[in-house]
Amino acid sequence: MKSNEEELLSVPVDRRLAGQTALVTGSSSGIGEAIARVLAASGARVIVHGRDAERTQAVVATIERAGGNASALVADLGTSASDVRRFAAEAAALAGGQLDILVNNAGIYPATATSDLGEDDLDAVLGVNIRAPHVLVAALAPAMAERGRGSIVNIGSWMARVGLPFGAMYTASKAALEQMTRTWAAEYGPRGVHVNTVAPGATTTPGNAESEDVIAAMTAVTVAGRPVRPVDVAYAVRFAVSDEASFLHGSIIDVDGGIAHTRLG
Amino acid sequence: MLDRREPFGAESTALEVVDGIDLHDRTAVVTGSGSGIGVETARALAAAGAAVTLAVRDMATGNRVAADIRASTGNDAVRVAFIDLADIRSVRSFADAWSGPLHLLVNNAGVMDLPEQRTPDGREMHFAVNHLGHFALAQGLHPAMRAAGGSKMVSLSSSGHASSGIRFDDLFFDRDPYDTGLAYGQSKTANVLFALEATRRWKDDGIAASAVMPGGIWTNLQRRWDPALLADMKRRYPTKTVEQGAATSVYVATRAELGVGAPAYYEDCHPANVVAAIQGGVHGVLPHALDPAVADRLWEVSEWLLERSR
Repeated sequence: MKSNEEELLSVPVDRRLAGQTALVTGSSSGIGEAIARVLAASGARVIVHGRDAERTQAVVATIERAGGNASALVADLGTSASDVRRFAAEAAALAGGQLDILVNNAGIYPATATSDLGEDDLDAVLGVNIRAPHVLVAALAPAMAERGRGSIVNIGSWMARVGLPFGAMYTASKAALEQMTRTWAAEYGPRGVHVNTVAPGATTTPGNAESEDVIAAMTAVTVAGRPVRPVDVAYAVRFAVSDEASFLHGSIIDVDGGIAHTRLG
Repeated sequence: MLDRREPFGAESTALEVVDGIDLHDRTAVVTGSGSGIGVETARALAAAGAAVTLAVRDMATGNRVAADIRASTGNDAVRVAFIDLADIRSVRSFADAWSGPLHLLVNNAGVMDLPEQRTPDGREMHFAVNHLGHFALAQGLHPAMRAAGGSKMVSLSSSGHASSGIRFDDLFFDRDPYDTGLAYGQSKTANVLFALEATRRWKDDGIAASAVMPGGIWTNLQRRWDPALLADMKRRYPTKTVEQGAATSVYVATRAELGVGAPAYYEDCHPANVVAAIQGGVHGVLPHALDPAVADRLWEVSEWLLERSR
């Protein structure tokens, strides 16, 4: 099997998202980067968001080198609701007034024991993983509904539906996001906005590189037998925002190597 | 992407930027060059050999500055001409009196933090001076810039652009309560949008423009600030000398590759990052100042306003 980067470098170019503009939060590395690159390979113009200007610019440059169209937007989504609202307005301006696709991917994932979670991390999980997607959907979904067309994908987690002996706040935040997906599917879906969750299994990214051994052990006993690659998640996101997903509303697509639903032996 | 080999940055001075640049046979206009970074912008262009016109409101100060620049650069082709950017007739007189090609127009003059004031035409002063006066000047000098066969315009903006977009439904605070921060921010957003749209509309005339954020520089611009606030700002934000503050203007005027699709906002002698909120008090440009549809509309509105100034 190709590595994540090899696969991303060989994604066939097509036009299925041509003419659409996508905002992918947290796309300066990892899963978000893969989503940005795959959507761009299918012709979407992508707004790459990150906290670090250089990393964000680097993803834009990678997309442009591959013949895609991308712009960078630097922001911290964890500060306040009003800052996220301003971010949404600036993203809409960067999109020329029309955003067709929103991928709520930015997240932080402190997987500590409950009593070890610091107050700053606790607030940050609530702010980035729950408040920011809520404010972004509140700001951007109404315009999509008015146009009668739009797609929102929230990045969930297999860990939202199983008890593990750590990461209570992180996994709860992902459960919250999965529930907001269902609410928004009912709220905006009748007006043409598709809202769905793509839930990755244990995935190797730069953000969890130090837990590589834990992830390898965790995924060795799955059907796939190996960690999910960010690009695999990106393919599912691309499906969920494509015309082929016109009957997908409030669903969870598990891209997890079987970790959530199977046992081997 | 930032070119790491690029030798210029936040600490570069205008004279360092023009080192090795030859502007003999080039003409330049710098507005607001009687004080602050305008002086050092004009000095650097003169040092590189350009024939520089100081476009100023205070002729006595302008003449003193011109003498100083002639003495420090050995370039005698430095002259002074009157302009009051708040008065469109004065701007038209300046442009009408211009003869020959114009290679560099630096829209440097600016006002900030004014109490509510209006021009004789009834227009809010920040918008009138910072944007509309320069819009009229560039329109008036457009034939001279076209005649240069390769001309650049530099629009001095500021991180203050973050505070407001263009308030098309209440440009002059006729409806909403006056807010000096919003008024300044709107005018600084207009400076970026004007550069963007001039580049698009005047592409076939060989004219290209960009906006610059000079940095935090303490000049006459902040003369109305509360001293306590000023002291606090100086503590909290990175500040530059006037020589460093002029560097980005001069960089864009002499070294940057401008054009349609090229960066439209520079800071510290390189293109700024596009951000949703200003970073570290001074860095980055917000998308609302780069929106092509808004830039087009601002141009149309500005033309309409100028027609009504006759």
